[in-house]
Amino acid sequence: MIHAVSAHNQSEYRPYLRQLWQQRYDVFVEKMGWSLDCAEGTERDQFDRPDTVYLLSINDDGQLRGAMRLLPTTKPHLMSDLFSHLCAKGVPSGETVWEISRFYSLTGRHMMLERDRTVSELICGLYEYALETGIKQVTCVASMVLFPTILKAGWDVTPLGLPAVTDDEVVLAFLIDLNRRDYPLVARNRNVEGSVLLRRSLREEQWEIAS
Amino acid sequence: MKHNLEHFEKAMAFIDASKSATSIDALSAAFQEVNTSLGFDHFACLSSVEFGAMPEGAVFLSGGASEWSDIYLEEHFGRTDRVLQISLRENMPVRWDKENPLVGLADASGEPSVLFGITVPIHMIGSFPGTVNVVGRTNEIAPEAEYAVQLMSVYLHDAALRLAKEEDKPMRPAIRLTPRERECLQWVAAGKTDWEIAAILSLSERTVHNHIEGAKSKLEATSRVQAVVKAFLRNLIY
Repeated sequence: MIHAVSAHNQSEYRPYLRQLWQQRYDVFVEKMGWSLDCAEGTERDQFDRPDTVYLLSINDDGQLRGAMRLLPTTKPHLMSDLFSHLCAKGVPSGETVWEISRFYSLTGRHMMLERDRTVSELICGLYEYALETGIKQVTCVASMVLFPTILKAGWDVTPLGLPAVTDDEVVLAFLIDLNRRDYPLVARNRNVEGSVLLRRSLREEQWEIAS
Repeated sequence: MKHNLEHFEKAMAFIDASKSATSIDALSAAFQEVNTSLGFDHFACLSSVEFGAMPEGAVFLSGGASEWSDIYLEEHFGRTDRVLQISLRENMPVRWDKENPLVGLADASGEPSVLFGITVPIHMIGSFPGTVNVVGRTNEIAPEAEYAVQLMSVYLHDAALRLAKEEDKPMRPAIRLTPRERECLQWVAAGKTDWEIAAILSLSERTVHNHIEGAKSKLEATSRVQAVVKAFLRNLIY
């Protein structure tokens, strides 16, 4: 199940968020070797703010198995502050455009493993969350090695510039159009039936956006 | 930076076309158009599978003059089989430049054909490994052109998979050789002349010649070498 964690319910998820920083350290610093400026054992940066949204994949036993971070593009985010050079025609921004980062799964051997349920839930959870809250597009920076698999999900992906070398890795900035038309195909490709998003975690937030 | 934008726009022209392409032919034509404008002559996009039986989920498409597929197929067939190795081992594109050109077998004049270009390995979980190859005569490849090719290649491969599934037909028609055609070609592969094959099979030299010409035409090969290579790749000879 995907839990959407944002300002209104963060207090309920404190233990999970602590676990999130630890898991992110293990995945991105230890395993992937990213040179991130963080304390030993916990990976948390200036973009982990009160207005940041997290989609957490929590299994039936209450274990955090994967997550992603969502940032509004109307405020400082990775693309605007760190990767603007990857966008040939400017950094996309707006109320309906959010940015994904720190996407990971602990269950698959490979980050984008097709049969990995955690990844499937995160992808479909993101889609559902976007459709519910009015997010129309998400931007992202990823390694070119993963890009073919990202494209294969079945959603509409548009590059924002040419690939470029960053931190010894060839990366690409791209935009995913999360439209209603592609959702059934994405869910089918990932073998997901029905909703994976915990509605309870949404309610108040929709209120905020509506008001 | 201006240079960068120009290459990005070229890549985007193809990427937009790839999203709406409704046939493999239209997709190939769109890729070849941009490929040419980037300074390359030919391309081939293929899954690393046995050519004899293209399984479901495998792709093969190409564009440009046939010379390229001659060289590619020879290269693929060659002992080193570099393109196949790249598709299996590499994550990032490999350049065929001055220091490391893609060399085909010697032609009639005895000169090996030399081409330059890029091989982009495509790895997708749940798909056959594959490569997209672009080649040309110019050995000056701008880094932006390489990135543009890399980006376009991912979309080409993705759209090819989608269209192959939609069109639901083998990407290449099955070719059947007669037992004699196959036998003669097998001996050509072993380096025998028409006269020698005629002696081995107790046929006239002219009959042997006709069998080989028949096989060449079925395989759409312009030379004996190419016929052998193509037959080998389709598991028609061993």
